[in-house]
Amino acid sequence: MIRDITLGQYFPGNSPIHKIDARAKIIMTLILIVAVFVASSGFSFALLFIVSATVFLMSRISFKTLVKGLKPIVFVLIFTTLFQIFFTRTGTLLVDWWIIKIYSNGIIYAIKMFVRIIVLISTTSVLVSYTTSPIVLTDGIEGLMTPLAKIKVPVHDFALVMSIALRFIPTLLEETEKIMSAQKARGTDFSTGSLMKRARALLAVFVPLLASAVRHAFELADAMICRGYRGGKGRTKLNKMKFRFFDFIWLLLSAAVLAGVILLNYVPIDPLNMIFGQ
Amino acid sequence: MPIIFENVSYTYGANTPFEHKALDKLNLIINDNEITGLIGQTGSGKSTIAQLCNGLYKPDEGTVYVDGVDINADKKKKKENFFKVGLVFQYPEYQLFEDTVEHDIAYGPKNMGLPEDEIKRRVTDAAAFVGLDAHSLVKSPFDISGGQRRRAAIAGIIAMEPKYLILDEPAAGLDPMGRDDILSKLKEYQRKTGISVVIISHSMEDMAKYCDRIIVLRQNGIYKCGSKAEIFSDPTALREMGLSVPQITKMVYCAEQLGVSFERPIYTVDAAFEDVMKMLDGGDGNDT
Repeated sequence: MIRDITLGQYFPGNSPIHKIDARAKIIMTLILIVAVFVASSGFSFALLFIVSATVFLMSRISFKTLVKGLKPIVFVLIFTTLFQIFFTRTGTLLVDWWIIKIYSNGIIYAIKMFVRIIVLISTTSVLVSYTTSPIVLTDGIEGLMTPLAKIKVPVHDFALVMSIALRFIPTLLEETEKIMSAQKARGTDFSTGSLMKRARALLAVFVPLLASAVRHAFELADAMICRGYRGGKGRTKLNKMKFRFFDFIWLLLSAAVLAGVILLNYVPIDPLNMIFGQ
Repeated sequence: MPIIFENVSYTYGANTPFEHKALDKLNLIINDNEITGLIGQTGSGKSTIAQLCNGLYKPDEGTVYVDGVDINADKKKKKENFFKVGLVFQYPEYQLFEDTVEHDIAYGPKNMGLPEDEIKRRVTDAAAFVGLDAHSLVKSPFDISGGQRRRAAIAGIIAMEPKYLILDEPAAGLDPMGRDDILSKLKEYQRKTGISVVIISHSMEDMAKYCDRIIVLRQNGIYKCGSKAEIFSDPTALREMGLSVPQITKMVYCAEQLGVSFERPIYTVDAAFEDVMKMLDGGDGNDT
């Protein structure tokens, strides 16, 4: 069913990761992304892997959920890994059979690429999508972008557009499902027939969906006007975000991870090189 | 042959944090050639039942029989069930999409693969039945009024000439006149064709006025099913479930407390009016 799609899905919870301030989480994620791309030695990848595993365990998100979230990138993951293994032509020759030649560097690059992608996807989804509600997340983004308002960037409007978009994803999904059922009940066949036929079947969903999206937009605009909405100026928040002591600790920790990764890059011995004989 | 539910269970979002059991081992029979009313509080599983009847939902447990056949047994016949059990969703006007009302009504019959002239006949019949004139048939479904759109959507299902017709809140959001109009037309249609019709509604008045048999649902189960007299005999129990007897029945009950006696149980305003008039006529006769 359509609802099964984990589209940046939030899992309510009470773990230490859930409690981190959204702004801190966004900065942490950015720092960790930089760390992932800076990392080059085996030690730094090991550190990143341990850090992301710890963050995941602390969030108390089930392993199943994480795996489900990784599913869409399985193809990319396998493809890049195989590409590295078979097309790298440096290092010592390990396997030479028919047209297949596997070099030591190929395996090392493949491992690094694999860890890089896994760490990247799992930390961003655990830190941001699984443990932060979309509304809090937009608040966080708005908070971080506030300085831009000084140079006349309509930060509040951006944030509003984003939170409305996020708010209506489940509504529109639900509506899509309902319209699809209604059209199925009239004999629409979405899964068989020629391409032309299927495109026509989808038309029966898109037209009513578009009409209802426009209807929602007008209704929401009217409702906001009726409640006296007049843009971001002078607007206060019910739940003000507080940057607490612990959030600083988390930021410092992620900065420490970045520093650690950079330092470990300079360690002359690389465990991966040792294992694959160089 | 009736629609039969045998030990049917259905759960929404199984194995997610949002799991919700809508139906639990439900047994239910929808009889032939009558109008069945399905009533119950929000969340009692009315719409779920509707979508189980035509095979849009597959029960987690148990079997749904239509015409004596398990509708989920043969995947290839899935489409046939949609045509056999016509389902009008809640607010069906939002599913219209063709360029004209006429084409939209023809959409279902076209999917059935009927010949052109048969489609034409069905569209004309269905439109005439719901009261859409030739003038609005050529208009875009986005250009006609809400009430007209509702009619067009219902006509779209009726044009498939299903053996069973299920309507989820067909009168929701209509004005009293549109409400009476659509429901009495449905009753007329049922009497003329002899198909079985299921009406899902929140309104006890509508149930009393248009249904032959009523099924009252409570949270994941059936509370009671039977004739109007059987259902409305226990107003206290109904009230406990957030439902009530028709207003006129309440009023007649009060009148009886004051010493006015009615010859029969009263469920509709029309019946009450008739009886009161009779009483006035049959009193001492001086009034006329």
